[in-house]
Amino acid sequence: MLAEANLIDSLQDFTWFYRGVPEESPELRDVVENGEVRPRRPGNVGEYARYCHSINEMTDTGYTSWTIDRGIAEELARFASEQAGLSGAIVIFRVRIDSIDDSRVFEGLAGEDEYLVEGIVEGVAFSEGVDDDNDE
Amino acid sequence: MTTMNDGRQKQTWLSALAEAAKEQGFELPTYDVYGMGSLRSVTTLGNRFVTLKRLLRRGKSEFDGVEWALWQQLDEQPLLVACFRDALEPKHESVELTLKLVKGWLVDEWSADETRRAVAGNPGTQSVQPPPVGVAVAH
Repeated sequence: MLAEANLIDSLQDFTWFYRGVPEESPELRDVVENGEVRPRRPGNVGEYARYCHSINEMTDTGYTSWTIDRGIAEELARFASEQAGLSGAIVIFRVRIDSIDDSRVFEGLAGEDEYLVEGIVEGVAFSEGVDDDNDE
Repeated sequence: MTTMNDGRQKQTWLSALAEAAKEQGFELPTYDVYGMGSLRSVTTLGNRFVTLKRLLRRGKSEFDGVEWALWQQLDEQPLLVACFRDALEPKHESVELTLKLVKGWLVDEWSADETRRAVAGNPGTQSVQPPPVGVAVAH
C-alpha cells in the first residue's frame, strides 16, 4: 500500500488527479491566487509520514491526498463539509497527472483510488465537471 | 469556479457526539476539516487528538462508513493508539459507545493500553497496522 514504486505508468489511462474540499477551505485561496495546493507540514515526509497520512488520515505531513475518481473527491468533500457543519458546498480541484514528477507520487488507499503527492502541487485548477474535464 | 451543494440536512457524527456530550454535562474538543474526507479534533493539553475519516465502498474496500483514529502527539511525532469503525449514520447506541471511547481518550485521559482494551471491546474495532520498522508506539 505504501510502496514507493513508480506509479505514473499505471496511471497513463487517466488525465487528472482530483481533490475535493469544502467551499470554505483555506486551500481555495492558494488555488485562486497561485494555482497551488500546499501540504500542511512540507518538511514531514518519508515512510512514517505516509503511514500516518494514508492509513489513518493524519494529514500534518508533507503530502496531500488526490484521487483519480472525481466522484470520490465529491463524496469526501461533502462528508467533510457536513461533519464540520459548513454550508455543504464543495469545490473540486484538478491537476494533470503527467505534470507531476514520478518521484513525488505515492499510492494511498486502494479503495479510494487515492494517491499522495509530496510537496506543493502546482498547476492546480478548478474542475467544473466530468464533461469539462473530458474535453481537455 | 463552480460550487456544488445538494442541500441535504442530516444528523452527523460530530453533531450527535456533541449533543450526547452536552446531555452528559461535558464538552468535546472541536474539529476542523483536515484533509480530503477527514476531520481532526484540536489537540488537547494532554497532546491527544482524534481523526474522523470517511471510508467508501469502492474497489477493494468493502466498508461504507466512518473510521475513528485515536492519536497521541509525542515530541512532534503522532502515534496511532487505536482505531475503530462506525456506520455512516449515527444511531443512538453507537453514539453512546463511540462517545465513551472518545471521551475516555480525550477528556478522561485513559492510558494507551487502557484505551486499546476499551476499543478492542467495540464492535467496530480495527487492528492497528504496525508503523514502519524503527518507529516507537505509545504505551
